Amino acid sequence: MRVAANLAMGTSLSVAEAELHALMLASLAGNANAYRVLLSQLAVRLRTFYGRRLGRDAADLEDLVQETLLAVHNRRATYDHGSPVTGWVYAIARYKLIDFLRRRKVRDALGLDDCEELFTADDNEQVAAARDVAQLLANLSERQREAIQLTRIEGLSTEEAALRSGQSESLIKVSVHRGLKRLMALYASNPPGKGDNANE
Amino acid sequence: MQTSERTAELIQHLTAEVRPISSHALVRRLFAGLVVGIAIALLVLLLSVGVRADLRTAVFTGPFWMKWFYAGSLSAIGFAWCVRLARPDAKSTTLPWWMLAPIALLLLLALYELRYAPPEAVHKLWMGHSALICPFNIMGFALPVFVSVALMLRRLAPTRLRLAGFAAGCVAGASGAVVYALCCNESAAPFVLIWYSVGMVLPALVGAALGPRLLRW
Repeated sequence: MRVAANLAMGTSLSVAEAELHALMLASLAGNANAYRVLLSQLAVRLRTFYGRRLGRDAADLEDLVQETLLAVHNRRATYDHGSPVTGWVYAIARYKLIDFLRRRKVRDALGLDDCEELFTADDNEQVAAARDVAQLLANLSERQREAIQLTRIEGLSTEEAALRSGQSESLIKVSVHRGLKRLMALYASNPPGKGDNANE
Repeated sequence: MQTSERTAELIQHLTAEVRPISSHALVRRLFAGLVVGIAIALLVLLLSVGVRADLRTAVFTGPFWMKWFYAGSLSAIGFAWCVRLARPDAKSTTLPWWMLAPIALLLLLALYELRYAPPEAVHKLWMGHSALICPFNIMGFALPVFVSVALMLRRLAPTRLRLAGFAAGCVAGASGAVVYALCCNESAAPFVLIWYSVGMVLPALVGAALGPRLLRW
């Protein structure tokens, strides 16, 4: 890696590394100020790291930076005190990048973006189903339509339906029975799903 | 920028309260995982078949220590390997090759036993009386160790997940064998060389297979 090569050559990067190393050790000793400076510096480096690989304006860039900072924080016990901080952080960053790319690949392969269309299609179907029911109900008499609407679609009991509609309970029962029978007949002669698909 | 403000906020949040962390924290946590796993395996052993009836006298015999040395040294090397692989910047290491040392020693011992055994006893040296149950028992005792070590490992930062899973399986298999040796009364080196090793390799292979999914973070 270039960082390692620069380190060996003793360029300015190794000065940066020495500074990061001191900050890291102080952070691990519990120095909150050092830790704040360290994470801020790492955030800048990570932004460059991911920016170079995903493009500066990648939407997920800052998410990745944050996710990596969180990993650095939660897993700081895995830092070997004698090794370069940059090597450790970039190893975590690389892991997170690979994980991110794999997730994105899986997402693309599954076409999860298309799934939204799937859900919309689902909505359409529900709307279509509701429309079908309304169309079918339109073929019934007022009384039958009301009885079925209340008991079968709104889910009221016969008693409640009778109270709501002002029909007697027995009349509700008869209306539902006759209405359903008529609907079955209508449905058998003209399944609505079939007609709809032909329209689309 | 709004997003980098959120990052700054995150940093504020993370640095609000900083606990000091010892440089031995990683080793300690992994070791705790190992100990808990072995303790559970021991408990299972005591509650099921129990230790061998003659354990009191057996601990003063060579075969018992042959098994403990073989499995124990492999467990120790596997553990050291896990410690390395728990760091994200783990480099390739020659450490696992040290596992060949106890294997070679046991192989020598096995050859010695076979060389001086009467021909009719050779089959017994290889197969003992529990050849087919031994690896599965070891795997059984390896299971709690594997789970416990893997749970610790995934909270650290392994980046070579398949290898780390393999190493965790090695530790688990070898530790399972250490526990199993308390109830196993086989005493031949060839038996241990084959069947103990099978019982250790299987968890390692399972670990390698599960590693990428199990140890992801």
